Amino acid sequence: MTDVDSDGDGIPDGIEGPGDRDGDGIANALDYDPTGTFYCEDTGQLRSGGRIAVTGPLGTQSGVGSSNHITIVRDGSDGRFQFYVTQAGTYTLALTYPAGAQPSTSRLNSGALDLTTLLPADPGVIGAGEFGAKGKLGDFSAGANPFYLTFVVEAGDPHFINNNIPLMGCPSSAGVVASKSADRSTAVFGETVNFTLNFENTSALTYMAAHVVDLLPDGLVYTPGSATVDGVAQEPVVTGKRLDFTAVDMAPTDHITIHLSARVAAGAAGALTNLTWLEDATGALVSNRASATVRVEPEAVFDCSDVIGKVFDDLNHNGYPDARVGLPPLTDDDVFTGGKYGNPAPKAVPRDYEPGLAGVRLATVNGLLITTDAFGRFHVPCAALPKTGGSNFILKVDPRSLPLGYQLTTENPRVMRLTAGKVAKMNFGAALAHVMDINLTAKAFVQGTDHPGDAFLQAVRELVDRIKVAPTVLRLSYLIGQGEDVDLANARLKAAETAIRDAWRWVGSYELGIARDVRRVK
Amino acid sequence: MSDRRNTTLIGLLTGVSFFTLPSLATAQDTGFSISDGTRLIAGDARLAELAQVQVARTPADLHVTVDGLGVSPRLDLEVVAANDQRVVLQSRINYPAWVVRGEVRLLDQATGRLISTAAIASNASIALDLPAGDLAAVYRVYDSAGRFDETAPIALDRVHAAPEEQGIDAAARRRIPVSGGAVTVSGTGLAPGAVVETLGETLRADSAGAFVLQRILPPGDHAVPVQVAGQGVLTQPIVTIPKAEWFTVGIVDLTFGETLKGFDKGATFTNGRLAYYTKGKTAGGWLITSSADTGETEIRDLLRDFDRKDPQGVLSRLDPDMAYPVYGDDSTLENDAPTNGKFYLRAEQDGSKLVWGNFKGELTGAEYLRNERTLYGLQGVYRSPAQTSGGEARLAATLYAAQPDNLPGREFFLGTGGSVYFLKRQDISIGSETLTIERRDPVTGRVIEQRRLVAGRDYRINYIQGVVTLSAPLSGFGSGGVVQPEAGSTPETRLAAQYEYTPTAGEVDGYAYGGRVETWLTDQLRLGVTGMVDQTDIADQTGMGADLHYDFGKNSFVELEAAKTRGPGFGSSSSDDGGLIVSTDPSVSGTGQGYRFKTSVDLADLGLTAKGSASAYAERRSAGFSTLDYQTTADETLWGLALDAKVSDRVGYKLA
Repeated sequence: MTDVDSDGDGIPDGIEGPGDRDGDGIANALDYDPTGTFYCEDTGQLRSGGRIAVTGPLGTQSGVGSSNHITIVRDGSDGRFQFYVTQAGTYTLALTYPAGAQPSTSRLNSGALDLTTLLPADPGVIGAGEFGAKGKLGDFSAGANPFYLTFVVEAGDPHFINNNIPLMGCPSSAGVVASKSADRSTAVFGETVNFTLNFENTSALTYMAAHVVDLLPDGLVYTPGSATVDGVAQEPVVTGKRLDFTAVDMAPTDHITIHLSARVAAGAAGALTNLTWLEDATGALVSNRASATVRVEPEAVFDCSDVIGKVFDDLNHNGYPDARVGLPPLTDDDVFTGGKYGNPAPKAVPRDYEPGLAGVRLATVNGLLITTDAFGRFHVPCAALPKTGGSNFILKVDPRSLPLGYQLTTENPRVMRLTAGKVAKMNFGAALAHVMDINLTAKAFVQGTDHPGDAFLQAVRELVDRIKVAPTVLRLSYLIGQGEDVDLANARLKAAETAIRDAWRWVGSYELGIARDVRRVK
Repeated sequence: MSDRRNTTLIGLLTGVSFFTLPSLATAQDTGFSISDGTRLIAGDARLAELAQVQVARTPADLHVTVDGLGVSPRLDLEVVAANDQRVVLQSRINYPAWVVRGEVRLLDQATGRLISTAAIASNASIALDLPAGDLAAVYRVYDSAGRFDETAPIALDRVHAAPEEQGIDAAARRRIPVSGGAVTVSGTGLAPGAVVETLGETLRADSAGAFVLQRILPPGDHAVPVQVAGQGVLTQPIVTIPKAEWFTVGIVDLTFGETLKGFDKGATFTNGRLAYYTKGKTAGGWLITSSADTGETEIRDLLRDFDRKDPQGVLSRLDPDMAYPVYGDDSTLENDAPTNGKFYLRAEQDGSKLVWGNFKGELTGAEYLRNERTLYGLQGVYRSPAQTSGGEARLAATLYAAQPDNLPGREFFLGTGGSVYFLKRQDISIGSETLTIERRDPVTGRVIEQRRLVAGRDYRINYIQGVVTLSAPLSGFGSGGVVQPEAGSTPETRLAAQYEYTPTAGEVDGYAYGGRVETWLTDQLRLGVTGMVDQTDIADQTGMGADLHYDFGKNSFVELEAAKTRGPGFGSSSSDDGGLIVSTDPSVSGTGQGYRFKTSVDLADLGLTAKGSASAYAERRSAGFSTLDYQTTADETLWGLALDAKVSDRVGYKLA
């Protein structure tokens, strides 16, 4: 028995003996065995950047060093940690995980370990050892690597090694490099997206019975019969969104190329990311997870609802755009008013009984302003992307963009329920509704001033009484005679309007529209 | 609803008659009449008849629209006729009420030197004799406070004119606060070519006998007579433009449902949506535009993530031209509240504004540090009411903080002699492009002159295909050939295109901040400070700079600028053949400084009798200096001198 410790793992060579525990061809006495490691559960790679701290009956030791009967030889920052204690008691391991890595959620610690139970083995081996000095565990499966965070130590307990801490979220450094590409970056509903999956074994290992997994996102559906593996048609096992291809042995430098197609299903929207990776026979990940993203755009025909319509001069106040009966159809190029081929344009024939109103502005709640064309027509392309059960759409005419004296004869704003893929029509009628013409001359006013005469004021009171319920527009005209002062005429007109508004104030039930003008009598 | 109206109309007609109003019916000579168009209700029957006749005499169908919220100022200068010596220019402006005087400024296209000015009245035309040279014209109008709006430079060698009301807005600089209402007079049914006088203008009806004219008028009452030659005044409505008015549309949309059949029978849902759009102006001169849309979602989520991006983003990316439907009308669409989020607010007053939503960065003024990207976030612009004699705000500040949604693309095209240029990217964000013609020294790469192009007049762009079509061919060299008309090397002309595009996959992270404060200490001296930060995936690109501008005469100035940049730099690409073969210029990373000095002196400003000018520049840029325009890979020092003097009619010196 000798106290020489060739590999520096704290276990004398005499105890370790000449055997080769992990089969990597290095004798145990020369094979460094740490107390434990941080390793990636997907790949078995040791992960640097972690830290341990050990808490005993007297206190805590964190970082390399000695205190409270605890000595930390390696603190885990290179992926391996090593510590020993010199006093009996219960010791707890506190872990700081490497940046970017998370504690495993599938491999949980096994609670407290009474080291006495490991006897007679010395050293007590808890998990798998590092294979050679390659920075990777020989066997990184869950079953081979139980781990503990609490240790009950008594005098005479054995050394213990390979208490390996599993990690998730490691960047893959697996031996197989997966890559994936899609033949387009955007797609619409119903379109087929072709994916190409490439796997290359860059390691020196052979992965036995490994199989390719492809995980489609919601909204992409595998097209049956479209998959080929290295050019040979092969149908994967489809389990929901997961496609599993037939297992193959993957020797070093082997390639696998898989082509498959998927269709964009109804309701898909936004970025769809398709993942692929290689699994070995036990279901462990042996490649990186490659992804390809396709952005699904709304499709105008199926997802949108368009709104068309017309703002028309509702001459008969019925709220509908009436056409003149018996007109020839409107497919006549001659009404193009700009002239063609150098010929003057024929005179435009008014086609509509109720013509459209040009330049009327409509607004949506999103601030989209639509201005009608010369014939009062408008359209809102893809006004909404309605949900499955339809969505409401609101449109409002800005009344101030109507000609003076016009009032809407249809509801404003108007709300319609839109269906995806269907066109909706919203017509708005406006008319010079219930116009009362009030004509004034100088005689209606006190001479030389702009005070309305008593007879006019009396007539205004009676008028207001009669129009107080039915919406009416007043057209107030001053017929100006020869030699009359225009400024005085304007002042009188304004005074007349003021008189009407004063009479209206407490009587009327709606906002009274008054248009004023001055006309010259010949 | 309309049926109800019809019955009330009939009730009105039957309930009110001549005979039920004896007190008024007897008063024949009252001086007024009230009628409903067909029947006299009160007053003087003869008067009503007279007025009827007046109305009947107007064959035209006239409409007057008063719109206090649809104000869009237009300023343009049209070239009606042109030859080498003489040009006829037409002013087009729809807000003459704010303008006290206007002038056409003739500029030398190569140097930007002001050659002469000529007064032009609003919407009038003038004929100008042109001096020799390659000239451009700028139309500038002043308001009573000395502020001015001006157009981008307009080439004088080709005719471009549009009928009234069909012109475009070519304003490149807008400082006159125009508020009020747009009064539009339109008519149909006139004799073709009839002469119409209205809103202080005379115009002719088109071949179909229709006309339309719009003017922006200040708040208050205005008489709008419409007169047709040979027919007299047809109507003279008095319109009132209110000082304050609002337009609002909103919806509260709640949907409750329960599944009656099938897989998830008995499941209930409660969806809601709150949305509004409002636009208005206050008596204090603020113009407010705002909208919000929670989107249709579960009620408890309605007000969550109110600042989140992109609920309607997919809609805005849809191009109606890409879809199958053809609508067959000429209506126009405009997004008044562009935002990538759920909320939009814009409040403006006299050139100052606050915007939450999508906006175009307005960091201009300095040559090294500029930012004209289209961004989503918060923008504030302040312009002090106090002004210099040149109409500039004494203190101006621009700040923005934004979350870019798109990636910027920047490309340079050497003029090919053609007018079509293919951008490297397709699916350009609509309205995000900034096109500039640059004249560069081909040896040193120094930008000599930049001219911003105006959409519609100078170019057309197809956003989906990424094709720019200029309205005139762009030659790569000032004048081709063996003979060099200028001493030294001839500047090369490039088209610089900056735009935003949506990356097809992945999201853009990071924020962009920036700001500029500039102040005119005197009427001649301007100081400015600019700073900007662009966070990208790799690192922050930061830039800081200060600049000074001093005018000492009409065409004489000194400019100094110092800037420092740090970060991974900006990439750009360039093409010599209009975009068929594109080479990508790698971005320059690191830290670098740039210093710039530039002066131009008009000999006349020095009191010399000789005509001509002298200019000089010096620039030093260290390796790693990276701005949108410059990528410096090695330390550079440039300087140059130019003198162009004409000592007599026959003798001139030119040195460069």
